[in-house]
Amino acid sequence: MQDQALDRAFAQRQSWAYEAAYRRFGARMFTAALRVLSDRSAAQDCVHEVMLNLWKRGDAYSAERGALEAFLVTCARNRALERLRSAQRQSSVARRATIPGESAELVSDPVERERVARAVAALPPAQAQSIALAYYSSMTHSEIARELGEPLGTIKSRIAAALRTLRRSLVVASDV
Amino acid sequence: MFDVHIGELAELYAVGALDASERAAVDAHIAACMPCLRRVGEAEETLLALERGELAEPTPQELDARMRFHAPRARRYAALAMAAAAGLAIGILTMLPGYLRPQVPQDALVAMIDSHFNHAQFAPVATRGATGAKVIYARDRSWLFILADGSERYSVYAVNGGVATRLGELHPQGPTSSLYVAHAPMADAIELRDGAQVIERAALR
Repeated sequence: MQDQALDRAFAQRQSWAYEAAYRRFGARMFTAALRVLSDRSAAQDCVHEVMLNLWKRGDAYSAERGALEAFLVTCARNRALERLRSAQRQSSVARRATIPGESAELVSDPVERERVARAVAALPPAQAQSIALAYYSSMTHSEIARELGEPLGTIKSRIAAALRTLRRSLVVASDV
Repeated sequence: MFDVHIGELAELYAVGALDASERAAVDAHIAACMPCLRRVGEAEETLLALERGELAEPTPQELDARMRFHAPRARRYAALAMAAAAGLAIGILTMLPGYLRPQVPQDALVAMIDSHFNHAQFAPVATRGATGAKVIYARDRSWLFILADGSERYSVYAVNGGVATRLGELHPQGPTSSLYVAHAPMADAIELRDGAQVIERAALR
């Protein structure tokens, strides 16, 4: 209820909602970017850029999309991925595979970490492998297809199916 | 680019597995397609569930400062607005009997500056009432701030259609006690309670 009021106000571009959204969700946005980049300064830039760009655009979020927090965290993570991929194109830096709980920068939530690990482990092995490469290793679907030597369409379907299954076990199950 | 809907690209979008041009195409599509927008939103909520495997790292102070600096306000008038809002807030608050210098939380001041607000006086319900309390609240009910004379830690309830929701309790600070609620639920009245007993009530317009 309280978050829904903030979601609506953010969608309507009420100025207080911009600061309130940052205060409420900034830490999660920063953490998502930091996990991808392992660089606190670059992660800060991502959060800052995302919030500024969203405010300037004005039409990027609507309450019908779903939870504002999920939207903002996705934006921060995707901005971080853009930076990572851009840097890799320029310097051929090896891709980091940041597995939850193994990052030197971040601290795991033992309860949530276990819940996520159980949900991922319950996936069919091929789906679990695809989601691990997409989410934890930050690879694109075409990179995963090359890595695994599988058709692009197969990889797309596996990632999508994995995420839908994870939604049932991590999101829908939490709501009941 | 898409026949009808984006299909499984929704999940790939949320997990960050699309390249920049594909993301742009999805963005363009979901701007005009509600079912696909909802599917992307659901996938984003799953992504958030995965992110919760890590504890959220507090934002660095440097980032907090950058965000404050670029907050979407009319910057040229920010100082004037702050002074005016603070003056107005203090002016309202000084109607309270008996207190000397109210401590208004920074969050409450920022909220007052950034939005239109109303105020209402609490009226005693029980004979032991008369805290002289006031509630200042956003017109859209998104936040509210209660300030009372004295140091009683009364519970604060939002009442909407007869259903009461506990918001917290008044925090004593000097000669007054207060509570700021950043994301308040809709309410037609605010009550101060001592246990189950309603001490004072303020009707919101």
